[in-house]
Amino acid sequence: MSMVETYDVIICGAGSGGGFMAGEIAAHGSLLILDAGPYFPEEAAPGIGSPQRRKLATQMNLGTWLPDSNESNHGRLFFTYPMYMDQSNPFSATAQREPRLVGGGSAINVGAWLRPRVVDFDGFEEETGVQGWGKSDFEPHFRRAERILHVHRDPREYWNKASILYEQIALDMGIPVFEEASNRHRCILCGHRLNAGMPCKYDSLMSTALTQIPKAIQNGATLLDNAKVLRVEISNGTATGVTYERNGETFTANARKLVVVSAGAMGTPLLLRDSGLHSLNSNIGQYLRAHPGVPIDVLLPGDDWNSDRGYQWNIYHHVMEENGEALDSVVHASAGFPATTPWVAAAFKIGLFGRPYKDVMRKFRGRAGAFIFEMKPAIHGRVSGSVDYPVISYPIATTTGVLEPKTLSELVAGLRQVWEVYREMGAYSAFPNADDPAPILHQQVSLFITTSGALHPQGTCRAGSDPSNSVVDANLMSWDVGNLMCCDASVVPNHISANPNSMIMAVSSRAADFVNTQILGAGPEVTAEAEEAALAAEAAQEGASQ
Amino acid sequence: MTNIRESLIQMERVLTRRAFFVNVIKGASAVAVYDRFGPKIFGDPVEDPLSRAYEIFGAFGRLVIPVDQDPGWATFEPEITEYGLGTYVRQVFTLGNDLAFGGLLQAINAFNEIPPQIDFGPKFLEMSLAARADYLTKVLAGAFEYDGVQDILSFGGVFMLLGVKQTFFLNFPHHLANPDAEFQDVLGNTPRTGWDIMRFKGPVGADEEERLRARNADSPELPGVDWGNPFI
Repeated sequence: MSMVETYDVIICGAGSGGGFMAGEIAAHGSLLILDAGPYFPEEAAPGIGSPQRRKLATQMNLGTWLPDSNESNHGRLFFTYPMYMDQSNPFSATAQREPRLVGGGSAINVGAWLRPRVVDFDGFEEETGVQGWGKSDFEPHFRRAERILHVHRDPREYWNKASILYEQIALDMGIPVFEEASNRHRCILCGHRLNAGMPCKYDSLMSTALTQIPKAIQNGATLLDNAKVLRVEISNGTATGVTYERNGETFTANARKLVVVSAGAMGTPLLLRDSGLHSLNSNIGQYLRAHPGVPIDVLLPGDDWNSDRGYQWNIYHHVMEENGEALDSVVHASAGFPATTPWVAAAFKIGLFGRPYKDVMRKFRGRAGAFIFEMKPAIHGRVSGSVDYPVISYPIATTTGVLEPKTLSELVAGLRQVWEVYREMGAYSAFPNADDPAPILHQQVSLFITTSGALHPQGTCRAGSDPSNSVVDANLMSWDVGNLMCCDASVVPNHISANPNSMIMAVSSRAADFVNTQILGAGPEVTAEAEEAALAAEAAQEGASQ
Repeated sequence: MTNIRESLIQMERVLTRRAFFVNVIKGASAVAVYDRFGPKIFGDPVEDPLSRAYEIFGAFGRLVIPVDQDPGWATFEPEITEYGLGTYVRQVFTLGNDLAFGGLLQAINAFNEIPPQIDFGPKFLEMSLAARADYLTKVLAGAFEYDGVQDILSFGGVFMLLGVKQTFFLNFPHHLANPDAEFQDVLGNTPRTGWDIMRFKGPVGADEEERLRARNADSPELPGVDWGNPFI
């Protein structure tokens, strides 16, 4: 053990949550940011990138979870966790991943920026009684994040043809389709990173590594990359700092005012467990929510459907019931995950071989598809174990091997609705085939999910009104330990109907206002509301001068 | 001598952790077959099981990806067989675990040896092409359940099926990335590989990147989210 430094605030994890907060608070106090993954501090121009970042695309190692291996969860840019999902086969675990690089999930996600549904905000209070988590409470924070991350929509001339046709036909069929916003500025649609969820080679994705982290460093923050936090130090019921490992050495850093744990929905509860907090609050790691999803891959006539490379997400919609109500399923259309790389596509139509198989493969360019997420499965899971030996349980399949009923019925409804749209577009083959008899379709969907995992984990250190049902209060401060905050997807009280990146950043923005005004002593002029008022005044002044 | 049963156990442990495979072999157990039939199910022991497995894997590749108007497995032999089984399957499917790989070799060997033992026909390597196709079709359809050998045939057959398909469509033999390169230019291939057959463009090279950037440089953007969406 060597070297002790003291900061006002220490943030553990520089992803969507911690990275965003760092940018907002660094100007108001001394700040140490620790991240287990690498950071490339070169100047990065959106859409161009830097030489080091370009090489990430070929140096990535997703990591494989091997319970018997000492190398367990050490992918190069990812922590890899086993997630047990199938009660009928308890020995089978999927490999779930959380990013391990500066920028975290904001550097990895595909750039889709979806707002939660209005009903999600009502669900927070219903679930844990948390107060002040209404839509209007977060609205300025969504808008602040959208300004910083350059969230935008692309004009239709930049959409791929399948998206445009899908939109037209779905609307004709009465399915309300919406434009999907993204936070990838000047994306050249290279198709690279979308193949495996890797960081953008050209830095078009406006992750916190490109936006908030440089801003934090400019304001005096210290960033230590490749620094793995081992535990939060707690003394007399108060968080006093963290112990971390870097370059084979162990260090302790002290925090005068606050320790923020932002290690992700899986990493945060595991780090709190490694710090012994689970003996104080049994809710740590409980109430895991996630979004199981299933792709549908179709063959269309012709060969020019997938744009130049890979897929683009331009539109999304909810799966609609006949009575016009939206189910809790979201469709990202024109995605076509299985169509992105030949060696993945090679597993399409697994039973085929010989000339018929080659004929199918020759139709590769005619493939399009969608990805359907179930946003509110009627189960929750659990995160236990430790950072080095995690155990994630999300038992979405019952002892029969078939998914819990709500998830199954809403995903199957989604497959059938999407297949109807593609059939209208001229598609003549789909996998999975939504016309298959229910038992076959149910088995296919169940098998896909129990072997592929569930994305968007949330809720494992959720916010609430009472320590009996939550880990943190409405301001994300720990119920049990002073000067300790959690700030990432783990604090979301109940699952949201969207990819979680936007929600994490809005939560983080609001928490940053709390830290600045209540802990670091900044004035109210730094809040998102004040920022908006200033922007409005500026715009009015400009208007008047013109 | 390697304990066959242990190899099969290890193979099942490793392979069924590969999420992709659980999809197609859930419930199968090669060990159960071994326990019912013993080592005779694998035929006479051979001195070099890998060489025998290469023979079977190569024949399987020629069956699954024939040469037609486009090149097929045979176009790239023997390198594609050696790479496909000895490197791709060994490293990707059995994660470099030698014991598990040994179990998979036993399953591949059983795929060849079993037909005469259940009076289905000659060994796989001795079958005509049409008979091989009929045999594989029946394996995939689960037709050997009543003979008690379906589980081990599923292991051997399905893994070889995936192994040859994925090896061929990895752009073999031009598939290895340069780990230190900013760009991964795909060189013109002669003969045509799996990628060419699918007309997959592959990674963006330096020149194309410039062209794409020029095309998108002035693309207008609509700020914010879609406020026509009443759900948000």
